[in-house]
Amino acid sequence: MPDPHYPTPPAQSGPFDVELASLRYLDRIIDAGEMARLSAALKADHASRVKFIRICVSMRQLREIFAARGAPVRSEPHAFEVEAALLQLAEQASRSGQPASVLIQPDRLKPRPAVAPYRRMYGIAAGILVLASMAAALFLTHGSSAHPAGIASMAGTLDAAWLGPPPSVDTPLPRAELKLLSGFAILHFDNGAKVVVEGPARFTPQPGGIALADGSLSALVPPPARGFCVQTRRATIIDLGTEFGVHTGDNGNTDLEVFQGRVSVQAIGLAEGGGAETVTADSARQVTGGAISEVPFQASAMVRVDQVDRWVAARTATPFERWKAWSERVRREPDVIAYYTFDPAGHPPDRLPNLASTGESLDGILAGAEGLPTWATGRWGTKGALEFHRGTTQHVILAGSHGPDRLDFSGSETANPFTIAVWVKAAPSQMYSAALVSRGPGASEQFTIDIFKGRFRAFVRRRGGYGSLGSTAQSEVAPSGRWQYVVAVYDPAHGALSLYIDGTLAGLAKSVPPKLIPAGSNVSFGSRLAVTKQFTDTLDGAIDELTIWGRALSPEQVLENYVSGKPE
Amino acid sequence: MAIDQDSVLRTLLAERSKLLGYIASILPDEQLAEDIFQEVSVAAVRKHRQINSVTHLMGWLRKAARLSALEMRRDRRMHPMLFDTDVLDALEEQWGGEDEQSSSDQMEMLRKCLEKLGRYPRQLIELRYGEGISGAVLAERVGRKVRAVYVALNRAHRSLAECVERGLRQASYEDEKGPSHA
Repeated sequence: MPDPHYPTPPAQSGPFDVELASLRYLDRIIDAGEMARLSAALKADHASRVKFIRICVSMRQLREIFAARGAPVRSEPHAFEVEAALLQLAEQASRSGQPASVLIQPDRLKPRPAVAPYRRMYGIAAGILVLASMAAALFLTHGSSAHPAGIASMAGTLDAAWLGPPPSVDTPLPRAELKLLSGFAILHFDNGAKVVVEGPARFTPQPGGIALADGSLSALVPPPARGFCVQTRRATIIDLGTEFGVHTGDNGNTDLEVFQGRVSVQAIGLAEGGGAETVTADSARQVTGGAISEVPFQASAMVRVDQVDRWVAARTATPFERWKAWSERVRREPDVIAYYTFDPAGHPPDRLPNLASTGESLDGILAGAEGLPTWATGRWGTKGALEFHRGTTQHVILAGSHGPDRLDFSGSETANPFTIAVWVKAAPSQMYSAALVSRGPGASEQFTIDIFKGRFRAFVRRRGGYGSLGSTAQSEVAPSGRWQYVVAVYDPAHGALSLYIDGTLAGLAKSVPPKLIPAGSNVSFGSRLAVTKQFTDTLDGAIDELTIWGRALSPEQVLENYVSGKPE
Repeated sequence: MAIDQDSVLRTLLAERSKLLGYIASILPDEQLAEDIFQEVSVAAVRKHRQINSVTHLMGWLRKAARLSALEMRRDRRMHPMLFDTDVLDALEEQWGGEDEQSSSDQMEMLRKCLEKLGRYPRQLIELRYGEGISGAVLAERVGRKVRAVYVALNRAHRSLAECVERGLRQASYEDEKGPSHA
């Protein structure tokens, strides 16, 4: 007899793609229906077995290929060192009152050609000539303001893992290749340039620049550091006063995204004087094998320096400041449909403002025949919460959530994913059906997070599923009387309803209905509608934050949100 | 006649991807697959006197890896979606047939084919297998739905497979034909 909590997925029709299902199996995101079809195909069909095995081997081979990274950064004296020496020479000339042209002839001014590895025979000599031109160009452009090239120090890291001994923070970095396996490294150059390197990456700090063997970095370059240079195996990128990001893969191909200002990019291997391009803000280039091509600009493709600065600052802040930084970020997320911080200030006492971009249409209204839920202190003394009392009909109702709206996840064909996260402090004695969040009257709720048999629970009901549970994620975690972070993630694409408590998976429904029952009433917090359409099952406790996303968050995201909001 | 330790090591190095792919088909968990590979590699080196050829070695490695993977998935009830043994049995014969293919030729051709792949599919492949970014995170990075990312990854795999097959066929044809004369 089928388990009503884990209904057999409906039979799927249409062509079945063995390779796609194989990929999803190997990535462990296959759903039950797809798994059954893949198993049947592999048992029955030789061609399917060939395809499956090909995918298994190919995935491994690709990992091996990428693991065996490309050639290391060249070991001969780096161009930056020569350039730095010339810049210092130019500065000396400036201090002594001599024009730079005395030292560096203007008729040798030419765009800087690349120093390709195959030019080893005359690399250094040619490099000096070419870089002399470059140095002169920079000096003549900036006059006496030309800044001596600096060396970097490690200003900080975020979740960084290194291959080899980790560099010390706030000490000058060695001029040796550093291998950042994961996380971020924040480099401050003496000339004022700030660089964030995102792991995995191999890089070598140089005076006035950085050599990037592979990986991604973003650079924020103030005017005194103009001329800051990023060297990859295929490109030379010179700042002209700006902020930009660079990514280079193991084959040396280089992507450049310019966020602000201008950048000069030159492909290594192009003839001298040819092919240098100036790239302006909001545009991107790719350098492959001596050619530069325009590619679409993707602002979010690379992390920005100020982003990482903020993340680092939030790490070292007090828990309340850390939460405030998170709260400011989350309300700007386009996928956040509704967001409530439960702060009483600045609005009528019977209103709970929605701080997401959906605005006041999803504001909550405080209600209750015996009096409204009461404003109280939340996770921190400076933060508010709403208290609900058992045996009353106290609740918050989202008046604008009646009928089809963004909080109705039933969808037209298949249901839409969602994540509901709530910070709650509930009495340990509470046993049955105390609702934290719910939509729909009893026996036909579309979704509910509640406390059932003294344990946190989440469930959804399938379309046509009046009176029976579609899928239930029942945890073994009881309310503790302290603040707990309860998160329900409904993910129809992956066939799962997950319940997390304090960032940890505490309940899982392995097979979920692809269609949800349509929303039959407004969303409510703290209590829910019974079959009689009366609010019952009121929480005995307080809620101080509630967020609803129109997507399924990953376990890592749930954990990160918990860490960002935990009171201590 | 027993195989020597050097041959065992050479085979393990050359066929690493294939063996890890085999283990992943039973237990799709990268870390656990690596653990199993290491475990059976050590065992194979120790037992080399009981193994009489490379073909025998490959069969032995698969058998040991399968036992280990099945044991591990019994121990760790974290993988609800795994093949039943009848599916694994059906695949076994095909895995045996894979031993006839040279892994090093395949890898070399795959490297070349990667260079020919378009920018977007290559970027996806690099992020997924080079940087180890999960499909869900990848979808966020490129601003597409998870399903769409998997469809694109699948297309990229298919293009690579076709390119590898074409390249190997061409190479084998040229080998048979001998060097060309101008």
